[in-house]
This record gives sequence, C-alpha cells and structure tokens, in this order.
Amino acid sequence: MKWLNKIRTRSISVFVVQAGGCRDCALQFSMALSGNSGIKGITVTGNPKHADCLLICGCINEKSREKILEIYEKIPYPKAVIAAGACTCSGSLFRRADNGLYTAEEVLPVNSWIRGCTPGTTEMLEAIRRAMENVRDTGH
Amino acid sequence: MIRFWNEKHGRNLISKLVNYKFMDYRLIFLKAAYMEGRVKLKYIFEKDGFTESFDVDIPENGTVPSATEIFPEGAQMESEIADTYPLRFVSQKKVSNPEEKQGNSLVEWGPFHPLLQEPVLFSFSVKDGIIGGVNAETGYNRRGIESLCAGEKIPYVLDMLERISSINGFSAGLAFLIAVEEINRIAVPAKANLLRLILNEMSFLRANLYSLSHITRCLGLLSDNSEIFKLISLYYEAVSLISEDRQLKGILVPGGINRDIDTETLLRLNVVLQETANALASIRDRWSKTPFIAERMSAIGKIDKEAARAMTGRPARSAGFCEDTRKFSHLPYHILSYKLPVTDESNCFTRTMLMFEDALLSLSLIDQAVEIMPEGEVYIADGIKNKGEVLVREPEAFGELVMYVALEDGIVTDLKIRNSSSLNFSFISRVLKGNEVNDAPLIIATLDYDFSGMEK
Repeated sequence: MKWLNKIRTRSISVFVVQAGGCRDCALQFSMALSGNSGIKGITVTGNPKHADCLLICGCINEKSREKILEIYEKIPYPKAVIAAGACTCSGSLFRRADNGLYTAEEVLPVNSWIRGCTPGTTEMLEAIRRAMENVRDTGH
Repeated sequence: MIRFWNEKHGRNLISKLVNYKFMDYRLIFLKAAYMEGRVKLKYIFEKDGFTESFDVDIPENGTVPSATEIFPEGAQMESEIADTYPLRFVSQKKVSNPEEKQGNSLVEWGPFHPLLQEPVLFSFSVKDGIIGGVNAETGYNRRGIESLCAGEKIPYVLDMLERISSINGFSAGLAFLIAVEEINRIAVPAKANLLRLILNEMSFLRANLYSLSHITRCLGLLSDNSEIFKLISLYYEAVSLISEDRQLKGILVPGGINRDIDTETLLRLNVVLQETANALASIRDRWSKTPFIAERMSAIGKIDKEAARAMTGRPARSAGFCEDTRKFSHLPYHILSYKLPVTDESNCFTRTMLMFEDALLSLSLIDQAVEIMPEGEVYIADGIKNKGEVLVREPEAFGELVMYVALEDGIVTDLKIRNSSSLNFSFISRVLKGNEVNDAPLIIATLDYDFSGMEK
C-alpha cells in the first residue's frame, strides 16, 4: 500500500548497528541527524521492537553476524534494511575469501545500499526514506 | 634456541618479568612472530623514555606463564596473541566467572546499544545495583588487518591503516609512514613535518569532540550535544579548505604530503578552528559549576594510582602521571611550547575536564604551528628499497600508539599495532567494580576506548 508507506516515511525510527570497523559511517549518520538537512522525521531508537528499519554500518564478521540476525528478527514488519558504507556493501579493503567477513546482502535482505567511504549525510537520509517508501507489509 | 620449554624456563621468564617490575618498568608492547614451528615472543618495557626488551622462544602449542599478574596491562595483548598464534598463556590466579558469585544477578549489555559507540558485549555481575564483576567480550570489530597487510605494498597498507579507526586512523597511517621513512632514511622536509603535525592535532581535536558528544548523550544533555555537533560542523568546515575527505584520508604519502597548503589557506583554516575554542571553554566552565554534573561524575569511575601508572593517555594523566606521548614523536613538537594538562585524582569528571583541555591544547598547537610555518617543499621523492624493521611510538588521540613495521623492498613483511586501548582495556573490570550499573555507560565513555583500533 504505497499511500501507507508514504505516511510512514514522515516518521522513521532507525536502529543503528555499528557492526565493526572504523565507525565513520555511524558518526556520519549522527552528523546527518543533527544537521540542517531538508529531510526531517528520522530518529534513532535503542529498542529494535520500536524500529522501522535497520541501518548497518561497518564490517560484519561471524560474531556480529549472529547478533545482527537476532536484532533483525525482533524488528516488526514492515521493516527495511539499509547497508551503509563500502565495508557493509562490499567489504571494502578488508574482505578476502578466507577472513570470515560478510557483506550485508549475505546476511540479510537489503532494501537500500549507500556506497562510499564515507557516504555523504544527505545520501544516507535519502536512502533511508527511499527504503521505507518501497517496503512491503510482509516479507521485506 | 630453546628446543623444549619446561617449568624451569617458565620460572626464568617470571623472574625476568618481576625484575623489570621491581625496577619500575612498564610493559608497552608484547609482540609475537611464528617461524618454523616456534612462536617468538618479544616483551618491550619502558621507563622514563628508555626501552628495553627480551625475546622468548616457545615451541608450537606450548604454554607460557601469563605476565598479567605482574603487568596487568598485558592482558589484552596476551589475549590477541593467544587468538592468533598456536600458544597458550597460563595464569596461576583463578579467574572467577561473574555469574558464579552467590546472590548476584547477571546483566548483559551490548553488543549493539545507542550508548555503546562500538560493539562489545559486557556481562555485569550485579548485587543491589552495584557491579561486582565484569566480563567484556570483544571480537566484533576484528577484521584481521595485521595479517591482511603482510605481503602488501606500502600505499595499500597506508590505505588500510587510515581506515583502521575513524578516531585514530590518521595517526595510525602517520605512524606507519614514519616507520617506513625511518627504515629507508628519508628526511621529510620541515614544512611537510609541520603540516603533518597540524593534521595530526586536527584529528585529535575531532576525536575529542566526538568523545565529548558521546558523554553528553550519556548524561542526557541534549542541548550540549547539539552545541558540540555545531562545533564538529565547524571543524568539518575547516577541513573542507584542505581536503575532500573528512577523516583526512589520502593526504599522507611516504616522504611528506601530497598537496601544498599555502599560507593563506592555513590562516583561514586556523581562524575557523580557533572559533571552537571559546565555545569549548564556556561548556567546560559551565559543567564544572553545575553540581549535578561535577558531583555525580566525580564520585564514579575512579582509577587507583597503581592501575593508572600502567595505563596511557587521559586515565594516566588524570591520576597525576605526566605521560607526554608527544615527547617521543618524530614530529617537531619540541619546537612548540605547551604544558600538558594533568589532574590529581582520576575519576569521570577529571577525565572529562582533561578532554576539554586536550582539545584546547590541540588548538593552541595548531595556532603555533601555523604561525611558524616555513616555506619549502612538502614532499621528497626518495627510493623505498631498504630492508629493515623498526618500532615507533607516536601519539594518538587517546594515548600512545606503538607500531612495529618490517619492510623489504617496498613490501610490508610484518606489521604489529598496539593502540592505547590495548593497554587500558585490561583495567576495565577494576574501574567498573563498585560502581552502579546505571553509571557504566558514562564511565566507559570517559575511558576513551577505541575498539576498532584495538581489535583491528
């Protein structure tokens, strides 16, 4: 129901997962929320049960992968997953075949990707809003 | 070479460690290397600027007495080595699991929480709201950077190290290049060195501003949080004058920096940065006069002198130890004048006040460096062909960074990094015990942990 999604994008609650890595994408997201962006209505929550979407930053290793899956299960539908930054999208410089790092796509169904090291603040907020516009009521 | 490691060798190792402890040395680095079925451990100690070391050869899958009972700061370094190499450290002291104590409940916190800057899973053993024991499970930030760097070329390793941590990435990249230049005897031009110093202090300023913003979140001071974010935006406005990248990535090259920053741009940069000084001083003065902030924070997160002596950065300086990490730097700090801020008693409040002082100190050093900036080249093209190894000690935002680099023909053959958190994290249990569990986020925020740089 597109009109319902349109309403949802006016108030989006984000659960931020700093999976591991340099932390710059999570810091950039904090800057995005505190800045004078044209995109309003996005807040951060500490409870996955109150979240609309999951923003994943950083490199995902085996340890953080298990915890991310637990958090994803707790977020109610409709929910979206946004992969922020080169590390989450592709592993960046750190990923090799045998060093146990995952991309976000290999762990969860991703709705939106924000590429870059580090991505821009406006791009992050726009990607979150786009992800919520296209989310379905069940499934992803 | 010792072929068989037995109890006698273990006792000899312990007696060597006790001798160093008796002579007031600190353990600053514990490094391991694997070759031909053996693990070679190198213990490096420091006292008053002088370093001493000794090596120990252990057969593969051997057990070694742990140094942590004598040097508790070595706990994290031993844990990393035990995870990476076929070696086991054995402690005589029984480590009790937090949940075993009678009448205590176990509270887990993490690894993902808005008041935790980086993923760590804490398990607190709590009785009547007071922390009795702490177990901290790390490993969520691990990317295997040291092994990824081995066998790679210098520009690739530099790119990797600049991304090791948002807070200390620039310092890690700089320490690596200093090591490369020392091995290859490259004399970096004076202007380039001074520009590197300015950029290094800028990265420290950024780190301290982000730490302060996190502390405001822990205290619930949303308006101060907003004010500090305005200062961070001002900082980024200054950075945009010299770099497209906010983390200052891609500026450093072996032999100098890759762009000349003219005097006019430097002056504009300095003017924008100095605007943050008054705002920081005013927030600091307001907090020190606000009883609910000053009294609450002064009563929690205390570090005793014995533990503080073995730590680095603000936890040590707040307890009265004048640890100047800039003293041993290859950057020209000796031509600038500064007084290192130190307090008498280490608690959350004094460490936070030192954060303000350190930010103001960085601004003062930048101001002095801009004033005395010479003319000249910012880069020297020199061959990188030498083979060698070196240990460098450079300042980072939260203390001292120690890096071991081995090079051969432009290829990094070995790289070991120990940041300030590798020392300080060993004391987390000692600092948190006896405090209320509600105060844990604030105490951890003031301890300046950089887990991404620690776990690599």
